[in-house]
Amino acid sequence: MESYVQHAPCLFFVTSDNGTLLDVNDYLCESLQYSRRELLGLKPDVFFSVATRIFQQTHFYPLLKMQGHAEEIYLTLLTKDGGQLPVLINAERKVLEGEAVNLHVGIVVHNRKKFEDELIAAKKSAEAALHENSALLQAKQELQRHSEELDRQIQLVYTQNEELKQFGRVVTHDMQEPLRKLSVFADLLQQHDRSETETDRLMEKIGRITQQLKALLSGLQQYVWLTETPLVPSAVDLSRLLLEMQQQLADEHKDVQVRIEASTLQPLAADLKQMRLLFYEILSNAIRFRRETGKVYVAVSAETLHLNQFHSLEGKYKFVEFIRIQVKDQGIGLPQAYTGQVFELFKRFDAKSGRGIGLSLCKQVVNNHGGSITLESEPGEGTLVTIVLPLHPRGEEAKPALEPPQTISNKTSYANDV
Amino acid sequence: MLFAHGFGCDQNMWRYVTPAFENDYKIVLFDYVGAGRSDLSAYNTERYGCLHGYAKDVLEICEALELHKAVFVGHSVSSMTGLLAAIEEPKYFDRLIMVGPSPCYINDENYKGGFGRKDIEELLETMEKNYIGWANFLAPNIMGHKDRPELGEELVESFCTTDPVIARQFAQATFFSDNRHDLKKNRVPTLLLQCSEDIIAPLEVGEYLAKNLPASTLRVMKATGHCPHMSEPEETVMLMKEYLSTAA
Amino acid sequence: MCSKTILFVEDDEDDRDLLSMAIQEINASAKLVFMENGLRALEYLNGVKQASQLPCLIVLDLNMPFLDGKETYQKIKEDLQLDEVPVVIFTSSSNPNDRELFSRQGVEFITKPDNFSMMNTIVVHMLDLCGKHPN
Repeated sequence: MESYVQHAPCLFFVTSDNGTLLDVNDYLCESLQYSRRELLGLKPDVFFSVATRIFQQTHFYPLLKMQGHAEEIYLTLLTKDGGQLPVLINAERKVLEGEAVNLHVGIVVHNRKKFEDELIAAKKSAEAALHENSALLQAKQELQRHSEELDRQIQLVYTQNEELKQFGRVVTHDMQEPLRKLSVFADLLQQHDRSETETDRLMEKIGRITQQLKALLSGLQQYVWLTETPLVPSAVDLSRLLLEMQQQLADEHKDVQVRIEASTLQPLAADLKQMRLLFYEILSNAIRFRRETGKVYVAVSAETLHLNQFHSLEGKYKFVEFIRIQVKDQGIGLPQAYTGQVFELFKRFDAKSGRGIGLSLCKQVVNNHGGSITLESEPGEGTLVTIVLPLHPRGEEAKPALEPPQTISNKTSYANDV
Repeated sequence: MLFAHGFGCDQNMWRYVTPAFENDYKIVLFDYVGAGRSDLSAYNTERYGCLHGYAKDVLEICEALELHKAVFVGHSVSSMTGLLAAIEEPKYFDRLIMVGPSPCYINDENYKGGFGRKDIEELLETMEKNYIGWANFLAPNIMGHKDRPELGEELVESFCTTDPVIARQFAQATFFSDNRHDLKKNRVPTLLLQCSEDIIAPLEVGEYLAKNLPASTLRVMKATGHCPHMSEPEETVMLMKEYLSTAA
Repeated sequence: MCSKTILFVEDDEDDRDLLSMAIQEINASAKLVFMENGLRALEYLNGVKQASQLPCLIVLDLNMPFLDGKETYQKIKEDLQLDEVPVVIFTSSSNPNDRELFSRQGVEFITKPDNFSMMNTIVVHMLDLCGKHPN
């Protein structure tokens, strides 16, 4: 039998389990232009094209190993003079006389390959015609643009709805409260004889409540401004912005030592005014929720990620670059249950929360830019605010960056007592 | 322990390695969408045209199973999808183990990835002409022959199914990927298992990774070829266990 | 036995002051306890429950942090002993749903006034409720 295989009109080769050729038949040698002697002991890689070698490593070998056999494997073999031979291979792993061997049989499929090439070419040509059909192309582009726009609009409607609900709640409740109290205290002052100390106390309350109301109104104004004003994108240098914040906050809180450490932050296409507001509020919170030591240390880091641009449309994917900025403080933190509500307008949890508007403004800024913001906190462990923003606004590239100040180095820390 | 197969075949590739870890870890195995026995109707060209789509598969699994501090084991291109997933959500991962990794397969002026563009284009052609397991499993799914159940009944355990369209796209997404600029963002301790004589992830690539991937440890194996977890499972398991027993 | 104490659950400092001032004008020796939110209130109530020193009236605000008025009321109802104490809602909420929710359960719903004489009237009513409670 063996001699028949040796002369059979098909390619036949046997490899050991470690991949070396144990035997080849005449047909193979003639087709590939090697002598039997030349091939024995080598790996079949010698007559595999690069593509075939890759396929062998990733598909053929695992198949044989796990399944013990493989059928109709299409490979391209190389002849000694560099020609290519398309073959279809069947292979099986057998244990013969105590030794595990891999038997391969193949036929050369020139005609079949040509036919398949034609089929595939025809298929591709039809697909290409479809692709290149300019009317279709244009329709596709329009569709893509509309999908992006639709996604944006859906997001917009959703956030506006949320904002409106919160706004409604604020107007019907949070604004009426101070007014009611003012009314009662004013009434008190008018109708009763009070001692001077009492009167002073009431006047002080009235003053304080009036301030609260003013703060509320200014907060609301900012809120409305943020919803109405269109973005003016420019290349924002975050490092420089943080430096400014550092200074501003140090001036506002003279009794506190503020240190902001920022790793290199690349320029970001965003609205500068809104970015200022965003970071001002977050950093103010870090100061507000500081530990008793009076020292505030905030670490700011950023990295780029590829995320899906589409938020609301299922099945639509476009991976674009986003920047993820993390602001971590070491203050007293917030109870876990409240981290979800923290971005609602005027939601306050205790006297420390200030106007209660800050973080909802941050959310608006981030929404305006097509990004997202989350807050994680643990009582006693400080707070981590994560902001994700698209690196480039839709369809635009960032304008060239301004000259950075000379002092910025790779890891810059700004202590306020240098 | 989350095992991610690479280009070619599916989760079955890990069968020689997983038993060694069954006592100490919850083993999670999966097929990417488009591979193995995944639901082909979920395949989306836009999403799986680049590695980020596959990284999203990994993250979705982590989220659904609420994984925490898992060991991610990725073969071949899955090393990179694991890296991308870990960059996005480091909280899921305690360690990364990369088997035969490469951040970029195509050579350029200063980098030797192992292949020229033409080699990859020929590979894509090879992918187009292989229909392994197609009639048994893929055809009924792709052609929608739900009304011909007898086709499904012929389903024998099919390893390494290759659909000419999806497998080609996976090959494209894999071999034209370039994740060299993502390496520096790594924060998770990583083991690089480098085979001797691996044409797909050659030694120069392993050395490039050791140099440019922070928190990485390179181990050159005696195993040759691209699938040490199949050809030399004992050595693979030993190196993995050795790495996992060391502190971060 | 109940003490003639009124428990006020109110997060706003100014409103606490107003209540205090209004009551002092009517009955300077009235015993008043103020708690800033539902959680603290429940802690207090569970404490005095042991000593059979429950308040004769609970005045409950609705909008409070950590545990709001509605949730606090639920918790009070769930406890057999606490449920015996009459509750009155004292809130600035003008939400008709809130009002309906409580009136359906037979709980009096009082809106915070914007003048002091109304305050007086309300506080007299509260003291009455306390006085009417059988010993």
